[in-house]
Amino acid sequence: MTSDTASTPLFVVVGNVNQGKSSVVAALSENEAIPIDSYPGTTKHAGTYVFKSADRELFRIVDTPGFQRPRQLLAWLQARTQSAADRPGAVREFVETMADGGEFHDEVELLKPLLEGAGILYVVDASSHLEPSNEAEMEILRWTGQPAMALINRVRDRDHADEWRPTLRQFFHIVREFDAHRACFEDRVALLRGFREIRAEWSAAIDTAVAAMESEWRARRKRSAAVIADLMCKALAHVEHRALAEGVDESAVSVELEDAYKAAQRKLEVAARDEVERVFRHPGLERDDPSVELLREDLFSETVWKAFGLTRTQLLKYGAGWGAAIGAGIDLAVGGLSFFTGTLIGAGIGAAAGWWGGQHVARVWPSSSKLARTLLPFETGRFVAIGPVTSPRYAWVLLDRALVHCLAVRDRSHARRDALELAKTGVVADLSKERRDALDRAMRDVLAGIAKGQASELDVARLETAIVNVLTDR
Amino acid sequence: MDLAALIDLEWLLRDGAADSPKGVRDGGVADRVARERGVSVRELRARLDADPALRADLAEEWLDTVRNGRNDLPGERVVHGLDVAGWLLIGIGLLLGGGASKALLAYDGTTPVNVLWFVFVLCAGQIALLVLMLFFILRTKSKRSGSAISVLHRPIAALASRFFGEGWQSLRESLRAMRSRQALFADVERWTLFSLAQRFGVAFNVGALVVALATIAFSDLKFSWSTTLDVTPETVHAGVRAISAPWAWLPSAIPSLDVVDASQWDRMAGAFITKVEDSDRLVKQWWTFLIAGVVAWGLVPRTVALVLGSWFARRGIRAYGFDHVGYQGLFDRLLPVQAGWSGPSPEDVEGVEPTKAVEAESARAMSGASTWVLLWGSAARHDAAVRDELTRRYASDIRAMHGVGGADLGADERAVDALGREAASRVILVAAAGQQPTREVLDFVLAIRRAVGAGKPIVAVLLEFANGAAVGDALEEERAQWRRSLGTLDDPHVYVATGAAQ
Ligand SMILES: Nc1nc2c(ncn2[C@@H]2O[C@H](COP(=O)(O)OP(=O)(O)OP(=O)(O)O)[C@@H](O)[C@H]2O)c(=O)[nH]1
Ligand SMILES: [Mg+2]
Repeated sequence: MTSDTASTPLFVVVGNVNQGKSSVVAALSENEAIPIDSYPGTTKHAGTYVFKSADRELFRIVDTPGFQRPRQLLAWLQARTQSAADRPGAVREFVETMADGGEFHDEVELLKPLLEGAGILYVVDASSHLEPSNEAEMEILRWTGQPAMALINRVRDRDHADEWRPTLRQFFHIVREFDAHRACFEDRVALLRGFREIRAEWSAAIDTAVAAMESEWRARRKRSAAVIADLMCKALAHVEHRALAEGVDESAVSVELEDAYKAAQRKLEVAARDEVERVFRHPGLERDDPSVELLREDLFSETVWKAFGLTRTQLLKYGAGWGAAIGAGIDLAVGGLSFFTGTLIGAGIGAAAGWWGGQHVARVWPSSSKLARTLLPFETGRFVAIGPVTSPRYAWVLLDRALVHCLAVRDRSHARRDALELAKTGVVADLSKERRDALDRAMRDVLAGIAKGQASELDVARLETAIVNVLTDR
Repeated sequence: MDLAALIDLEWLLRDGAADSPKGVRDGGVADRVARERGVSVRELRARLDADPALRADLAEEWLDTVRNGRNDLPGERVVHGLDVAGWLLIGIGLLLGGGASKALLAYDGTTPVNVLWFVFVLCAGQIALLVLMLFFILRTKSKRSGSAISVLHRPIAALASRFFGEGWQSLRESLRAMRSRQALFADVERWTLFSLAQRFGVAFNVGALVVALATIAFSDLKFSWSTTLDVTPETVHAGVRAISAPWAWLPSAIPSLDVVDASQWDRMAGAFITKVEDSDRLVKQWWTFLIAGVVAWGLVPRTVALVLGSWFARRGIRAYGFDHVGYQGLFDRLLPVQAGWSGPSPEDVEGVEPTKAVEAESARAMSGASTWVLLWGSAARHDAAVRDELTRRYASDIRAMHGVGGADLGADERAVDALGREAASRVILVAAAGQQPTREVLDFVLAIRRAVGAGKPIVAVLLEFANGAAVGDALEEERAQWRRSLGTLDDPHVYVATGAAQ
């Protein structure tokens, strides 16, 4: 072994089967792919997960198979030792004797990395009882002579931590709680900082790793905000149009137009979600599951419009501004309201549910309108078009959904293998006035730019900053 | 970076650029750029945010890789289309300019050419256009205005759909997609179209000049001016001087008052109003003024506008930020974040899960029968509670209870021996909820089987304990877990008890 790897902190996660060892490793290493299952013995071979920053290995974590026969193993060791000094040697002898597996395959796999001078992370499931076999495990770990920390995880809703603590404290000088399924970034960093106590000489490497993670985290926040800002720009600006053959009137294509417009909005939303998931290293997140109710719920459904977005009072306040800033610009350009089906596209919600700015998403306009030259400069011939968004209510619903999704993905532990769970209500209605004003202002400016042909990069950047602020607060 | 490359990039990255197109390997891109710049890849990553030129280099290098062997990218087509449109405009400009000049200088030997018409069309008209152009430039400079140049989009689109048909349709879609956000791209586009329009202007003036010079050189022209209005030669002369302000330093191209006076034409009389001796010589002097007018008010400003327009367009490309979401994603891929994890692939650590088909069965009620009870691990601490619970549940006749799975391995053996000795007919193994069906548990079940012989039921009962009492069942998930593991023993008489409620 080179001196370089010798000085790289190495942590081995051990424990009985099914305690959540792999879950802890998956959460820490943001790895969606680590096999995790309720079958005892899911992990069959030790796997090493390496954290690197700037091409330098900062530390490693080894996930191991769980203990299957700890009492027998302890008995084997006890039979070969006379004094405490022999103990680490006995463990080594065990690993060497049983190297080719057999009934102690799992124990060999888990002890082998320990012999390389690793720090031990002993994971227990405090929703089960402390069993004699657990005590045997702790005893074996003590025999290895390596520094160790105990992690209390809970696989079920029961809690027997009080039963565990007195015993854990005898064997481990550090005992911490870590909920593998609910751990968010801050919890992970806190745990990592805790690793410094396992062995003082590793502190520097751990500090560097924490700093790298934190800077990466800030970059992700910025990236995800950029994705959401981009979604808002694209969705607000989107214009769908259909050519009209000679003598055909607008109503012939109105249904198709509306459907295409909605489909395009949904597609933009999905694309943005995929990107946010990629940013937070959740590329394989299952969103097709029917249990992801609200975000799966159609963007244009009444339930969604009620659960997300601003409150009625807030809307009233901002609505006026929208009307002045863009509504007027677009309305004037659309050229009067006389044109076809009231020129508003319905959001699929009942009239009763609508209030100011509530009933429509965007306006429908003909190729003769002034907007055509600004928004569809390359179109020739007669057509009918819809967009950009004129409803503040819709814009806020879309933004709210994007924020809720982003927060859920950000705080999701990589140990989970179930479908993404999302808040049932939005976040924007509860933002501070200052934050909400900033978002509204930025969206309005972006939209005003769009109505004139192009959103200015400056406004987009402002929207991005407003979103970053929201993500930072939460 | 040129326009074609920029268009290709925008097009490729329009949906956020999740991945490189199929079959494209990003691998060497960052390395090549790093080598060119003589720095490490790590250094590149550190500079990325602050250095647009680096972003441009990376994007271009990547584009080269993508372009390799592909011809479905729109950039070249757009640029080609613009070229064709440019040449068309030049052709049309030459024709129109030449035609205008020809018409304005028409002289059949009777009525001399009226210079006022020429000045009106080719000087005053162009001055008006120049003012309009300046207005356009100032308007676009002041942020936030729709691009006036989009007047050009429609005619260009109409031309393009005539010439490119189908291809244009898809191109138009991509152009639309690109325009949806990038204000900077709009700038590039605007100035590109602007300089395209200037080509027409330059060609128009060149055509007009060439035809005018040819007409002057190859035929004898007489110039005159006439008007219905009550205008004195002095006023006309003042106007002439005003128009010639740009070439005031060239007196030979500014008609003198004598010339103006001598060339006022009386249509009814069919003769010049003022009779002067060398009127023939004087009225011919107008030509230098007319040519200078077209050069100064047409050709020069249009050429300047053309040069400026192309320069602005190029500057737009150079000033391009390469930093919207699509590019961010691309750079993240080309220069992976420095901090990150790596690990083995899932298959390398995973064991093979037993198939669900061999789950052990659930045992339901089994009242009455004689039962031998083994208490695994922590369950042994609750022997009284277990006895009560089992009696209550199954009304069974408990013949013996042994603690097993404890610190003492010998106790396990003794319990198994006892079962064999007493020829146990039914064994219940009680474990606390949360106890895992580990290999040692399975080994132990096998040992029981060997002791009691085949066919005797062995039932696992999972109970939850608190404060020394059995307070309920383990969760169904936990029982399922045991069924799965016990199923691997392939013994039809090993069961997992259902919960009390079932
Ligand atoms: N609710 C909840 N479930 C958890 C938690 N941690 C682990 N689990 C579940 O517990 C089961 C076992 O988790 P694993 O991470 O595979 O446990 P392990 O210790 O690696 O198991 P083996 O590899 O089989 O030894 C899985 O079904 C997990 O979903 C937790 O914090 N909360
Ligand atoms: Mg595991």
